[in-house]
Amino acid sequence: MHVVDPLFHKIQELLLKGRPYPVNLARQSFGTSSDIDQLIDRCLDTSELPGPERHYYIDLTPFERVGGLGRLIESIIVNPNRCGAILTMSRPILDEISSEYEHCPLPVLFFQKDGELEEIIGFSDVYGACRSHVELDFRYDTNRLNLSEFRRILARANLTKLLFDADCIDTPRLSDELEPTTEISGRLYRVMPNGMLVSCYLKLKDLGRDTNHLMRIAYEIMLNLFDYFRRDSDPLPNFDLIVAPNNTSLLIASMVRAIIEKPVLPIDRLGPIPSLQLHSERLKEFLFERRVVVIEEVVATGSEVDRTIMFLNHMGASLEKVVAAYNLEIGKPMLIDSHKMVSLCRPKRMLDYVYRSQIDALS
Amino acid sequence: MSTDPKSMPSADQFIELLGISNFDLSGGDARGFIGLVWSASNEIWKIPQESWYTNHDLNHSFRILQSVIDLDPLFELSPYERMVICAASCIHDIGMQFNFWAPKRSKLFPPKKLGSDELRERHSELGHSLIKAQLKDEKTLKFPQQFVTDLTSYKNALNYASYIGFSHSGTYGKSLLNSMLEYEATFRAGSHDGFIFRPRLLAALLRICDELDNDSRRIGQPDRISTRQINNISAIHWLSCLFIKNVDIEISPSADRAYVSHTIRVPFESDRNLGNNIQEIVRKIRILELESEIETSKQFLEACGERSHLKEIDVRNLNPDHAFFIPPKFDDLQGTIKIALELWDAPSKEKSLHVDFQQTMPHIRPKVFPEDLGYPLSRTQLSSVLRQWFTANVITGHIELISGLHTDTYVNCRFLAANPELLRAVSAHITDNYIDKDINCIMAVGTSAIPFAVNIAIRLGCKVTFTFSRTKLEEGEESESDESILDAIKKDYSLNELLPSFNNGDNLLILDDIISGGRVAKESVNLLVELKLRPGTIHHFSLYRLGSIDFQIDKRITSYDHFVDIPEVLYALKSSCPLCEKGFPLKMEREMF
Repeated sequence: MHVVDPLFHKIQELLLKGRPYPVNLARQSFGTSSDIDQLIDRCLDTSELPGPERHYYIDLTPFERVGGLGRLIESIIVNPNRCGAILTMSRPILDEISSEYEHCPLPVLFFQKDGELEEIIGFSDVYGACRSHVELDFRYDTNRLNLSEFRRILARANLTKLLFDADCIDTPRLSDELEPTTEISGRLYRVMPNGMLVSCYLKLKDLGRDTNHLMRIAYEIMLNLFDYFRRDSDPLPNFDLIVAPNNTSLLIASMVRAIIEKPVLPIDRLGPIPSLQLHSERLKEFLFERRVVVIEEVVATGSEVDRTIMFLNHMGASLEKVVAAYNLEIGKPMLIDSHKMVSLCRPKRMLDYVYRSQIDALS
Repeated sequence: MSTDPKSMPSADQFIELLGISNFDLSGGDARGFIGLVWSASNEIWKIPQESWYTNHDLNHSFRILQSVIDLDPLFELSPYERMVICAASCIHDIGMQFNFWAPKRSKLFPPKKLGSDELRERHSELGHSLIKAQLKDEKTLKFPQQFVTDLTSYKNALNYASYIGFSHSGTYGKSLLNSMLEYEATFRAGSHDGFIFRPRLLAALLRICDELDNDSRRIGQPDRISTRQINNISAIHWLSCLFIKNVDIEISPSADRAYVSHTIRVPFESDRNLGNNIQEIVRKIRILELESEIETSKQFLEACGERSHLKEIDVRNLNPDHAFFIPPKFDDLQGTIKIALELWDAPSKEKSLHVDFQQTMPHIRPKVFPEDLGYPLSRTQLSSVLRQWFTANVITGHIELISGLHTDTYVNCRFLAANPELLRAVSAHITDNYIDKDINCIMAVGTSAIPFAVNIAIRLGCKVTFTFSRTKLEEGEESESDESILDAIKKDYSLNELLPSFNNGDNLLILDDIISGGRVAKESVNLLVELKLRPGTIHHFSLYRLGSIDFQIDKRITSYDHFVDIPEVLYALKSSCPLCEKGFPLKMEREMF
């Protein structure tokens, strides 16, 4: 499934201009003639779309009003080989489409305020097959996907693709001079500082080589923090600040901060649990009774999340959520309720990721 | 009010805001009418008198009209209505300037200047009396400028404007509303010169929009709030306005309802209690007032049989905004607000007698904040703010840094990086500094620099990465250690944390929070060499330069720059630390954080 995210591009544009509160501003201000032109270009740019799929989605759910919808629809239906389907949660947008078209020439998926898929309108002879693909994607006749579930599927796909696009997967090579490597049963492993072996390493720090990549991952995190813009709740006020437990998380969290303008506090190098007692009163003042969201770039064993939770507990902060971009599913944190932790991408199987001890190697 | 008369909006701005520049009346035109009203009002407000009240001048009138325009999709005011409400807005508070324009001998007005409380109570009546006198052509009335010299064509409009304007407040205002209710023929909704005209609706609208102008712009000099010149009631009003950053009006898609939301400024480092108290004071004093005005307006129009003219206006929840904002000269803001809330709820007679209120607001060292200075900040202003931040957040004592050096001053810039306003201001300046230096990569050295580096990289469209410096010095640090930097650092950091991500030949900006002797900068470059990375030109920027130890310039670094120089910070080797010699107890940096 492929999605064109006009909100993402609008936020990018605003960040480049140094405008504050870009996500709020983007949601309010999207819809200028230039915005629609750029959106049309992206929709028609078939190079962006995966090969065999005929359809893609245009996610307008963050917006309450969008001008130029008629022009958008008329422009994208010129390409009969690619069908765009519009996602919206806004009744005014739906009404505008309905008022312009008795039979909308492309599928429009309307979501209720809580993100549940209410209906799909729009049908045409040209896009008859497209409509059926859309219905299939959303399991329309059986167990319908809601917006959140759909976007989570997309997040998994996007973040998996990002690992390759950003060349973040570091596979061990015997010729590596700087990193220790060992071989077991014909497979190479990187030796980690704690002595454990890993079959590959996610070098998410390399996302910084292109701030667009950094933004992509931050965008998915932001969508999750905003609960995919469902209208029956306003999640943003539900936390006060973002905490990053290591420096690579901080790199990503800083980009999230730039988008949503919530403060970010790094609390790296927590170390073993006893050292938590040494952390200062200053930090305690800062965190006491604050509602905190933790952003992790990768969760493997879950121990860093546990240390972070213990630390926040010690500081008197209230943990609202942990959002992990990637979860390698080696273990899981013991100190968090499962509903408070979100993992956007679980690439363990795709990477054939192995985390093991050196015991066999030593023998 | 610290309103600078030179900064008042012009007549043209009023006319343009309302879109009535080409509107003609029979016998005149809107430009002429508004021009005269504006001119007289501007003269009245030339020297604001009552500086202990919130701002009531033409800036306030202008903002009221901005709210009128924001709400206009609900009402679709005709050009005539816009013209009249414009005049009403200009004149509605001229009574507050009575002590400025009070005629020396007149049966129509009190013989002497009035005290602030009486002035506040009677300002609608006084203003209306002034306008009525003009309408009756009382040329004997000496006034700063003869008001509406050629009134003939506009008397009707001005008369309506006076009822609409002066009915906005107090007992007198309510009496005017009763008049508007009673005089059906004069005030019922109808038309004038072919344009729809609903004077009662305009009166209701003005009341509401007057109350909507209740954000921090009403306070000209917030640093006076703690002075004895400001009485308790005014101080409470000032406080409640001070915390409102902005008021937004949103119209429903079907244009049958408006939503008003207030964004309140919560000092960034405030705890939950303070945040709640701030919300409480805003809610009690401003929001409830606004809701009360909306209700009064509804009841008034209901009584007139014109309720349907007023669409629904919903006041939504408050939106807190944790900005870098601390009200000037508050040492115990929480205590001040708590007392203000108690006073507000107290019976009226006690409100003026609570002397302790002023005593909760002692003067402390003045702080200067971006919002008070106005964006964008100049480099000098930002440096001043950073110096103030440093002073406010520094910890003094005898501290051993992770590097092994001893110091008497410690500051953790993570808290600075966690401040969105400062982060934005600092990043903007650094971006401007290097925008034409063809930077390909920002390399943050240390955790605190990472948020800044990301912000700057977004603006410059370049890569961003991070690394660390050597964490532990050996004794006799001036001599080079045999151990490579990489090996030394790898004891504390994994290689993935150390290895910066950029390409050979990239022009690099090294960003650090603090520079003292330049050793960390030098070692950062040495680390790159050990990692076989070959950047192009290298620039170095730090937020602070601390201490006065000899600066080791590395010739591989093309330029060094920093915002703030604080030379009085002590740095010493453990072996020669004067604080150790004096036996001061030592704290470790890890404990400070």
